[in-house]
Amino acid sequence: MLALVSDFGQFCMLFAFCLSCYAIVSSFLGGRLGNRRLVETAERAVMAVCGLVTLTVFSLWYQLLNDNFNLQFVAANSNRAMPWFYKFGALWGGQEGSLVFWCWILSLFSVTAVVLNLKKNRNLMPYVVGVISMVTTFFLLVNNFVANPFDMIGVIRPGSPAATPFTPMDGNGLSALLQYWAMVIHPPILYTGYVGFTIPFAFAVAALITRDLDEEWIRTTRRWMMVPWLFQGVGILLGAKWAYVVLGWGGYWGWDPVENASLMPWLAATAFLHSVIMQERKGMMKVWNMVLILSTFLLCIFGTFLTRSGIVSSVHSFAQSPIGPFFSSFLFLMISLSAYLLLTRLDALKSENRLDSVVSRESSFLFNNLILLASMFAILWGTIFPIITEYLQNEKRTVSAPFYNKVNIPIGLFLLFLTGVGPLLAWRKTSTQSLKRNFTMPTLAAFITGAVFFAFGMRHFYSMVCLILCVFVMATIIAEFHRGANARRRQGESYLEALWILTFRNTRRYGGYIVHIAMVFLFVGFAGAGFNQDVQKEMGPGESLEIGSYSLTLEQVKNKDNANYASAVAVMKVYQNGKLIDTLLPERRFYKAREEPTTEVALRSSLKEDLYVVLSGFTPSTSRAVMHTFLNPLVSWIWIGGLVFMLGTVVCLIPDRHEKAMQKVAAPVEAEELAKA
Amino acid sequence: MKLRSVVRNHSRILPGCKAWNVLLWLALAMWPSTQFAQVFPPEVKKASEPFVCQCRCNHQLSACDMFGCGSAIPLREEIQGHLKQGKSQQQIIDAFVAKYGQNILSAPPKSAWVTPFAVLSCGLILVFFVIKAWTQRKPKLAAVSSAASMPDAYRDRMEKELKDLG
Repeated sequence: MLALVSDFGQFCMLFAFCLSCYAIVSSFLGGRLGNRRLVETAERAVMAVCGLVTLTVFSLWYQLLNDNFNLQFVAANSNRAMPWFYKFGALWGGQEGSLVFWCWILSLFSVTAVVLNLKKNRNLMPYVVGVISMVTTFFLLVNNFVANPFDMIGVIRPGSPAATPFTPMDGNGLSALLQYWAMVIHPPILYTGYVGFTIPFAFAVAALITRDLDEEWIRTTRRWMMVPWLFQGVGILLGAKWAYVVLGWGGYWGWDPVENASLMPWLAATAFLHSVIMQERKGMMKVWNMVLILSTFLLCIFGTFLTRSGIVSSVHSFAQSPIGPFFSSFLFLMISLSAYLLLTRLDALKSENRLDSVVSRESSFLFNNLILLASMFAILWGTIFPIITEYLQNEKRTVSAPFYNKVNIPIGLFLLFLTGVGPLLAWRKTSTQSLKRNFTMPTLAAFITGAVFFAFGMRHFYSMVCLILCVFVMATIIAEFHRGANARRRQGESYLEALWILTFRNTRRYGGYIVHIAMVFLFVGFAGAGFNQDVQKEMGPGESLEIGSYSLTLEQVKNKDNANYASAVAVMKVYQNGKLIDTLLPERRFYKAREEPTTEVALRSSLKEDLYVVLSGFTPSTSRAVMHTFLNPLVSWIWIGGLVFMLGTVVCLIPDRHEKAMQKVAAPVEAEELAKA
Repeated sequence: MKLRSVVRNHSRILPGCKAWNVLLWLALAMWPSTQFAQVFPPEVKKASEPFVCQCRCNHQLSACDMFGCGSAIPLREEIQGHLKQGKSQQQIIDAFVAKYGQNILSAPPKSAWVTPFAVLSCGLILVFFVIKAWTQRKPKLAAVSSAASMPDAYRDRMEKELKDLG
C-alpha cells in the first residue's frame, strides 16, 4: 500500500509538471491570439495542477506518518520515535519535501488568483496565468528531476548492475533544531509570504506585456502584495521567536543570511505598500513601483537560492543540496525578463503629476522609500559580501552582527522618525501653521521623555533615541485618532463609537496607523537590547547567582529519558526580594537518532523584562552545571508588536466605504466590457 | 576518564538514585563533547568580541552559546592563553588572522562599511534631484489627463449618472 501511494504521488507530480508546461504555452498563446477558450483551458490546467500537487503532498504525508523509510526523504527527516506532529512537519524539514510544499502553496495561490479574477482583469489574466505557471513549472521541474522526495534508497551489491531497494530499520529523525512547536507553523507561514509575492509579480509582468497600466491593476496588485507581506512579517517574527527560545544564545535576531533573505523582500514590499499610495492618488512613481514589485519577487528567489545552495554559512544548513545552479539560472531568466519588459515600457509609465512643495506627504514617501531601500541594500550587501570577496580575492570574509547593527540602527531610527512625521504632512503642501498644530504636542512629549530618561540615568545613546522617537511616533498616531474621533463626536457619537466607525470607514489609513503602532512596539523591544545583562556561572546544588533584582538557586539537576531524546533538567528557584516567585526548568536535550544536542530555554517573561535561563552544559573537569542567565528588558513588546501588526494589516485588508463604492461601479462596467468582447 | 568524572560528580548533584546514575552514565556516554561548557572570565569575553564563531552560527565569538557549537570553547581557551601571555588585543587579532585567516574577524574591511552609506548618499542626492525636477515640472491639468485616460465604459457611465443627477 505504501509503495502504491508513493508511486501515485510520483505520478501526480510528473503529471502536474506536464500540465503546468501546457498552461504556460496555452495561456501565452491564448493571450497573444486573443483566444478565450485557450486561456480558459490554461486556467483549468492551473486548477488541475493544484489538485495534483495536493495529492502529491498528501501521499508524502502518508509516507511520513507511516514511516516508509524506503524513501530517502522520509529516512533522512523522520524516525519512529518522533511524535506525529513533527512527522507532519517533517514535510518542510528537508529540501525535497519543502520544495513540494512550496509548490503546493503556489498552486493554491494560483487557483485563488484565477477564481477571483474570473470576471475581472480578463485582459491581464492570460499572462498572469502564464507567469505563475512558469514559476510553478520551475519548482515542479526541480522536484521531478533534481530533488525528488519519492527517490528510494538503493544498495549497489557486488556483481549487480542496478541498485536494489533497501529499507532501513529506522530513520535519522527530524533535525533537533526543528523539533519545536513554532517550527511546525513558522515555515508554512514564511513560505506563504515568499510564494505569495509571485502573484503581484505575475500581475506586474502581465500589465507590462499588455501595456495595460491603468489604476485597476495596481489596485489589484496592492491587495495581493499585502497578504504575503502579512504572512512574511509574521513568519519572520515567528522565526525570531524560534531563534530566541531554541538556539539559546539570548537573542532573537542574529543577522543570519537566511534571516536576511526573508527580511529583504519584506522591506521591498513595505516600500511598495507606501509608494503605491503615490501612484493611486497622484499617478506618480509608476516606474519605481514596478521596480519594487519585480524586486520583491526576485529577492524571494534570491533568498531561496541562498538558503538552498549553501553558498553562505548559516544555521539553516538543514535544507541544502546541489540545486543552486537551477535557482541561479531561474533567477537570471526572471531578472532578464523583468528588465527587458520594464525598459521597453518606460514610455507607458510616465508620472502624471507634479510636486507642489518639498514639505509634503509626497516627499515623505520618497524619503521613506529611500530609507527602506537603503536598509535593504545594507542587508543585501552584508549578505553577499563574503561571496564577492571570495570570488574577487579568493578569500572569504565574514560579515556578522557588528556590521549590520552599526549600519541598520541609524537607518532604522531615521525610518522610525519618518513614521511619525510622514502621516502628519499634508498632501501637496504643508503650511507652517499645520506643522505647528500637528507637531507641538508630540515633540513636547518626546522632549519630556528624553529629560525623564536622562534624569533616571539612562545613557545608552541609541536606546534612548529609539525610546524618545517611539514616544514621538506614538503621540502623533494617538493625536491622529483623537482628532478624527473628536470630529465625529460632533455628530453625536460616543468617543469609542467614533473611533470604531472612523477606523472602519477608512481602513487603509487607520489600519496603516495600527501597523505603525506595531512598529513602535517592535522598536521599544529593540531598544531594550541596549540594557541586556548576562551572567554565566558554574553551579552545584544549593548555589545561587544574582542578576538584576533576581536571585536564582539551583536546586537539582534531573534526568529525563524517552524514545526520542535523553535530557538533563536544571531545577532553578527564582527569588525576588527574598521571596520565591517562580521555578524555572532549563533543559539540555540529546536527540538519539541524529545524535544532536539542543537547549530548551526556561523563560520568565513580563512586559518589563525576560528572565532567560540556559543550561549551557556541564564542566568537563568538575561536571558542575554551567548556567547562562540573561536579563533582556522589553523583549515581550516585540511579540506584542507582532500581534498588533497582524491586526493592523487585517484592518487594512478590509474593504472600506470608498473601495466598496469603487467595486460597485467597477463590477457592472467590467460586465459590460465582457459582454461587448 | 573525563566521562567517569562527569558521572561521579553528577551523582553528587543527585544523591541516592542508583538507577538514575546508570541512565545518566549511558546518556552521557553517548553525548558528544558539545555537552560540555566552560565559564570564562569577562576579559576573555571582551577579547573575543572581534572574532566570529566558526560553528556556522555567524555570531560573535563572545556571544555564541549555541548548542552543538564545537568551536567557541577551544577558541576562547586560545584567547585565554594569549591573555595569560600578556598579549594585547591587537596582538591577539594578528595571531588569530595569521592562524585562521581574515574569515575569523567579525567585522568586514572598510570597503564593506563605506558602501551602504555611499549608496544612501547617492540615493539622497537622487531624491533631491527628483524632488527638484518634480516641483519645477509644469502643472499638468491632472483632472483632464485622468478623465482622458478613463476607460470609455467608465466615462459613459459617469456622464449618464451626471445627466441623471442634473
